[in-house]
Amino acid sequence: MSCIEARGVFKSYGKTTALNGFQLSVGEGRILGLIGPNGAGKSTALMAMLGLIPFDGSLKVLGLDPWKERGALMEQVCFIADVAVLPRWMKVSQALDYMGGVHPRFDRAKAEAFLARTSIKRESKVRELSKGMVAQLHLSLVMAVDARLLVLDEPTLGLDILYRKAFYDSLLNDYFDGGRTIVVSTHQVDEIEHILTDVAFIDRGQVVLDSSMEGLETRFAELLVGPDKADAARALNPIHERQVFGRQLMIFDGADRKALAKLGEVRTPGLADLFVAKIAPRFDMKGRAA
Amino acid sequence: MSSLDADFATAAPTAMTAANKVRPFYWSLRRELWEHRSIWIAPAAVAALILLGYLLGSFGLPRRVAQAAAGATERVMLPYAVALGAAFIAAALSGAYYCLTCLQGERRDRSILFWKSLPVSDRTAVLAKAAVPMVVQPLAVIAIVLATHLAMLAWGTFVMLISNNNPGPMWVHGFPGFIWAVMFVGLPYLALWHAPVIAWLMLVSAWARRATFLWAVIPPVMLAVMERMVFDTRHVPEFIGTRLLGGLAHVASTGGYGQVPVRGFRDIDLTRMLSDPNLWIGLVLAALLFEGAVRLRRRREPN
Repeated sequence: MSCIEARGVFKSYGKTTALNGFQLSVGEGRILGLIGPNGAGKSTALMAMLGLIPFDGSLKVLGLDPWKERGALMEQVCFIADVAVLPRWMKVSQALDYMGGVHPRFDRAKAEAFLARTSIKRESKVRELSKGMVAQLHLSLVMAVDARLLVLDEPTLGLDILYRKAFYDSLLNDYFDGGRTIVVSTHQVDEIEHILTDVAFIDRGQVVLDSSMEGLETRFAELLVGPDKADAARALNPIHERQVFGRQLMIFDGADRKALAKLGEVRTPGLADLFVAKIAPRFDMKGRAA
Repeated sequence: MSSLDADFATAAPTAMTAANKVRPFYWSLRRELWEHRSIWIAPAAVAALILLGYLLGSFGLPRRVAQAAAGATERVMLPYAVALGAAFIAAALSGAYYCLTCLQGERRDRSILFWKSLPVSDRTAVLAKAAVPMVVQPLAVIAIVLATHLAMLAWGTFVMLISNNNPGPMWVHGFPGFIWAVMFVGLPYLALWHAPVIAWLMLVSAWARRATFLWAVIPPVMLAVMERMVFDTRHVPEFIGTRLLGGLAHVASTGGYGQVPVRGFRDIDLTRMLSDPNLWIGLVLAALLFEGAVRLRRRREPN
């Protein structure tokens, strides 16, 4: 059974279309990275999946309609939408009490065990914690819930690199067990690349690329080619090209790797480069810079 | 921040435990009381001030008790009534402020994204918030006023004794039993009577991005002004006035018109209070407004 099944989801705010036929299918046990430029509709898509906003079209999460069945859905889904949404007046001990009081699948001992590895004190209020510690606290609360789906919307925005790394390491080592599904959206593509099993690029309210990480490796290739063979490489229709240290770096979609290998060094492109290749053309940076 | 807790990343998961017994309404209410302590601190602080005034003015107590024994009980009863009235007004003001903030504040500080990530329905959340002014505050005021009155009685007994007077007449003629009766009947009654006002304020809180006070006050006032200009009638201000003060008139005066204040047990007339159709009209209106607040909370995004 697929965990998230979105077909033709539309959502607009006044004249602005945020989701324009959003289409996505996420299987159980996957870790999906939702990647897109600012204003692409990532947060809107996640909010629709979590039953926070009404939408048009068909969207099922764990077989439930998120808008109509949010209460039931939230017993099996956890999310961290944005950093620092924990109420600032709340004490850590109150957060633990409250979670245990309203969530049937919250394991307080587990949350305490996670917190014991941080410098967060039970009696501290959220407002007294640093931004990184608030993120640690929220993650500790969320990881102590035995949920089937965890949704993270820019969970590490504004945190320093050490906290970001600890956050994702913790998520992968302590939480992910192959049965749970995780959907994460972030701008820091390169930092989450290694934990993902699937990736979806979203642009202007639509999914423009939806693939497993293995699928990316077979489909896309990155070629580093010297100026002498650049024209021959261009004949193979790269989707993106830029200069790196006097050589050309080109990204190909569905090209024959053997043919490319004759022209230069072939690798699998990183997510960040691929993201730029797929999304950048409409931004037309070169034209404006010239 | 000491260390970055590298081993935060290596916390070992513990064994799964059985599902918790959940009480979403109870914990939603607890959470409101954690955040909004002014709803009981304000009346408690005001009652403490009244008590202080009583202590400072207690040298006149033997004279007032003598007057009460002769039949004029007003002056000896006044401090008890003032303590009740002042605690009620403080609770009403802090309660109105609470109603205007409770649904807007969680959107403003974005904590709504945390509350909504938990299996608590919007209806439970809104009802728990409504229970603060309708249930918690009346109980808090009763407890605060009883404590204040008992402290006054104890201090009064002490003052009578050290001034070589018999404290007996104070307990006979200056005992606030009838004020307690008014309070026990009146505060729950007022909570019901004011339900539509509470619901209106919460609806505005669920709807307005900012300036909740202005949104709560200006539209009804404008409606009243327009009605006067167009039809030259006053139904809107009368309707609003009844919602705001009609309950108080029932509780504090005979006949429900605010003319003759209640003076004894015989003036408390439950049949008259409950048979006023305005009470029931208000409750129906409150149910509609609360339902609107639930729907708005469901739809509204953080601002």
